[in-house]
Amino acid sequence: MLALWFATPLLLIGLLAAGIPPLLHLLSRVRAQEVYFPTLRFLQRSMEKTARRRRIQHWLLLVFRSSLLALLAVSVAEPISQATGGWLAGRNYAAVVVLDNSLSMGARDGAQSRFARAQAQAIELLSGDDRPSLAAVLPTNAAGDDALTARLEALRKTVSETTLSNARAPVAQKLARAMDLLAGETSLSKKAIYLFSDLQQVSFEELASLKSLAAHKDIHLLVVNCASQLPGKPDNVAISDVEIGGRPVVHERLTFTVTLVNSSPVDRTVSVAMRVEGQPVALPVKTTLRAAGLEGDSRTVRFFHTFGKSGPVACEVFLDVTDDLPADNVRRFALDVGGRVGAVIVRGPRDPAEAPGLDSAAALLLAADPFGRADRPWPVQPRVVPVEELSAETLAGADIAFFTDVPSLTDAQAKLVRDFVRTAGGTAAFFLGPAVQAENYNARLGEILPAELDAPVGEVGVDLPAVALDWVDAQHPYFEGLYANPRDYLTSVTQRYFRLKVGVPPQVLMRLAGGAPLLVSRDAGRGRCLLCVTTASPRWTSLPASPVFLPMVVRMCLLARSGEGGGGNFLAGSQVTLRPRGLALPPDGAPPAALRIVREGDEASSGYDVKFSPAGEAVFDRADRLGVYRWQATGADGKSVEGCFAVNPPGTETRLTALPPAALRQMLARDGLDRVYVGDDLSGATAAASADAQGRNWWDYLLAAVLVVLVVEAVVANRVRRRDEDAVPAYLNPKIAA
Amino acid sequence: MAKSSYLYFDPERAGKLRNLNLLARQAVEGFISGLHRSPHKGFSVEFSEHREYSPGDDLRHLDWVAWGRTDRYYVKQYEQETNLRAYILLDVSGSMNYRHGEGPTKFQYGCFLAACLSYLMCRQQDVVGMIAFDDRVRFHLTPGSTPAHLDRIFKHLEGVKPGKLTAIAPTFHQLAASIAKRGLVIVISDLYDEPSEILRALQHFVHKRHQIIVFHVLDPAEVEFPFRKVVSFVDMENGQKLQVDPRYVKDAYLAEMRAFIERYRKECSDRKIEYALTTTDVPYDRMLLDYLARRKALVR
Repeated sequence: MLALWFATPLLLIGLLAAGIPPLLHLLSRVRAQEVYFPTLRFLQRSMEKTARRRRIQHWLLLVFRSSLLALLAVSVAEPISQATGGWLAGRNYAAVVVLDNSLSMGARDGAQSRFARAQAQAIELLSGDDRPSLAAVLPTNAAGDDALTARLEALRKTVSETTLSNARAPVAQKLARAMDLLAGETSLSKKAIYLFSDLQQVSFEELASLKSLAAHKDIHLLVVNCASQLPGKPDNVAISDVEIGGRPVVHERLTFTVTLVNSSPVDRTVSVAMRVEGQPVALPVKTTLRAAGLEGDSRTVRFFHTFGKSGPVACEVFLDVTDDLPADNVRRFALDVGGRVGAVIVRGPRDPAEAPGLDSAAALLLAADPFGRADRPWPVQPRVVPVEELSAETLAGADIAFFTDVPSLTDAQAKLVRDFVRTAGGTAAFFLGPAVQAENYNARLGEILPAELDAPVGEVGVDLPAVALDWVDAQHPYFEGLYANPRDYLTSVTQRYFRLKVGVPPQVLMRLAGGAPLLVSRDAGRGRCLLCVTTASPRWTSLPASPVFLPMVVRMCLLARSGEGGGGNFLAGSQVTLRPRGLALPPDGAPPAALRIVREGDEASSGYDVKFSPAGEAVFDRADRLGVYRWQATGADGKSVEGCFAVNPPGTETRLTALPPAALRQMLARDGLDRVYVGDDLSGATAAASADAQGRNWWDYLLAAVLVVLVVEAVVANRVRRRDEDAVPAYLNPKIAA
Repeated sequence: MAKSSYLYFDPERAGKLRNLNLLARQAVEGFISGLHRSPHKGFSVEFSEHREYSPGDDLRHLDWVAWGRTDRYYVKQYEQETNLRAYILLDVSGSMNYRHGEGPTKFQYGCFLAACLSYLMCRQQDVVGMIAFDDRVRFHLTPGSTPAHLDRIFKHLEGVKPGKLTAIAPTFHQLAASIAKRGLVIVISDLYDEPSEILRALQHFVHKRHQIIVFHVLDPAEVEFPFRKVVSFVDMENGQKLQVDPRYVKDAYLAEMRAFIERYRKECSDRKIEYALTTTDVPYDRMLLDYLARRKALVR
């Protein structure tokens, strides 16, 4: 049985226009004008002859004109025929309910949250007259049903018991699962996926990979938009990201770049502040964000902070604002602030008669710690060691080892260096000099050196030629952001340097005019090896005196510090892998049984015990709730190691602006998904599906009918224009006859 | 040319017709020599036939050439040319007072036509009489050809007003009985009466050997029926009203009108009555010019 549905029922008010023709007819009867005429004999006879026809025409015209206006009104209201009660009314069909329970669904942009609306609509689907015969429920951020079932009561319970997640919605993954479930069902021909979501663009970006939906012609995707359609909604400003600039070590000034996003349809002014371990560390910053969709709807705010002591620390930036989604008004992050970076400067034998200015170790020492005073905190703690004193103890605790003008290394020393780099994850930085024996380096350090050394070239002298620094990799972290003008990097000249043997250096960081590499880098094992083919002193080059040298050395030191070790920031729902550093292991090397994790603000008893893997990693896969998690592990020596990590919502989830239904359909249509129906509620989506699946939009047909009626009306009303010559024969018309 | 002091006579327009004559197509009985053939044979200019001489005949008409050839006396007979006695019958009924646009009413048009014809005939030494009628004879001027007579006709035309009802047929019968000598009868009317009665009355004139010309004067609106909106038509003669939607009745009306005109055309033709249809938007002088030119060609 078919029912009629109108796309724009408001326009049916135009049906009132159907009364206009009878009204006009009545008015025109009253307003007949009197006109003298010589004789009525012909008119009377004409009236008698045409009386019957006139009566019929009269009524026909009224009917035609009234129906013409009625048809026009009905056609512009876009009538759509559909099966009574829905597109699948009276049919057995299978449906999979995909319930978006991502963070953004928690937005309370109406009387209830988006998720509550989604739950209500899903339950309505599973309990209404048009409920499916077989169904399954798949929350996007939770385990769902493994098979279709006829027990809808249990599914309704699943829906009502599903809770909100703080992660993003893997819509594509769940839709693929839903299609697998439906494709395996062969007893029912009608199949549908009902997706209850707030249409966040990020949730649908991966849908393009869902080519399988295009392949399953019998599966329809009905998307119910659960976002509120109220004016002024959504009302939300969020912190979508916090980027930490710098190395988390003591006395290092870190930059915290906070990204704010406004999803509201109006401009919003918000106040942002930062806290470290609950204590405010900077004055709140006020900023105005433009309305969503305009340029300026996203802004960044920067905070700076220097940590004075090492250890795990929990921080947060937060907004002083009340909006639809409070969860994204704060963003936490955990840092494992390390102690000062240990730098060992290993130098070769030095001629005491040599001028102090040519001491390359002194130059590196000065660059690594320009102040060199205990009362002046500096993140790098360098010390100079003669090469003959190089040992395992010397390198212990060091993050970076500089080797300057070291002629050669013994086998044992070379092995120490190789292990320092490859196994301990340290950085070895070689600066060369007149005493360096290239063959020794190539033979003993070839395993970690970025390239083999060749003979030195160039002569040193006041009037002798020098090669200018021609290129610096300004994007590399050692040099990034130092100068706005690239020419400012290129202020040094070099007279003598070691050539590198033919081969492709892994990474060139500095290059001389003519193409010879000056500074090259190579990752080796867990560490890194840097090779500067000239001196760290002004003996062969002016590089140590150039502005780029000091920050380069400091960054080499800071970036030598490994980031691993317990601190970390994770997105909700992701897997957290912890590798506690400094944990004393028993003689057999086996890690402790477990690591205890407690979320800040929860009872200690509600924490989690996470087992270590044989590799010494603890994998925590229940980081779904937002906040700071503190962990503790006890080593074989009874000493405990502590750390913390933070769990935040995905930044993309905090942008609450919904994808317009038309854009969604267009996006999916590009990928061949044309059986997608979007509605603002369940009935809207069902109606859209009905119009396409079983119904028909009669707009075109009605318009055609209107045209036909128009033509008939014109014929009946004798409105077809005829020339006077047709009406009066020529011989009767003296003007023509003449 | 001096401006006319007559309402229905414009010498300038009449002057356009000076080269044309209204000739009788058959013999008419006149009382002076004129342009028209007379049924009486005489000795005039136009040779007709020979006749044997009889005593008393004027020797001036003896055909000496025929005597020389046949040795008999013959006299030449000539066809006598006489003047025309014309009667103009002008319909002044209520329906003649109609006009739809800016032009003259049918009555005014008829007056112009009658005045012009009177002038034309007087100019060619014919005598013309004027009879105005509606349901009765409103005035009757016996034929004459003098300027004073013409002045009388014009003055009478100016004095007459359109009446109400029409009774063409009885009036025609009455006139046909009263006019003794055969001549030319010119009828100017919209002929809105029972056609069979009118045609029978015209037949009466024919029977009396009169030659008849009918000028059927109509308004363009009567022929074309240009009305579009619903109107309530009021009969100009009896005041009867009829509300009509022209869109519905136009075709039927035009068919009726066509049949009405066609009937007069055919019946007049059958009865050797000249019939000329005109509408008031055609200037009367141009209509007469065309008509007389066509007629002249036919008479020759």
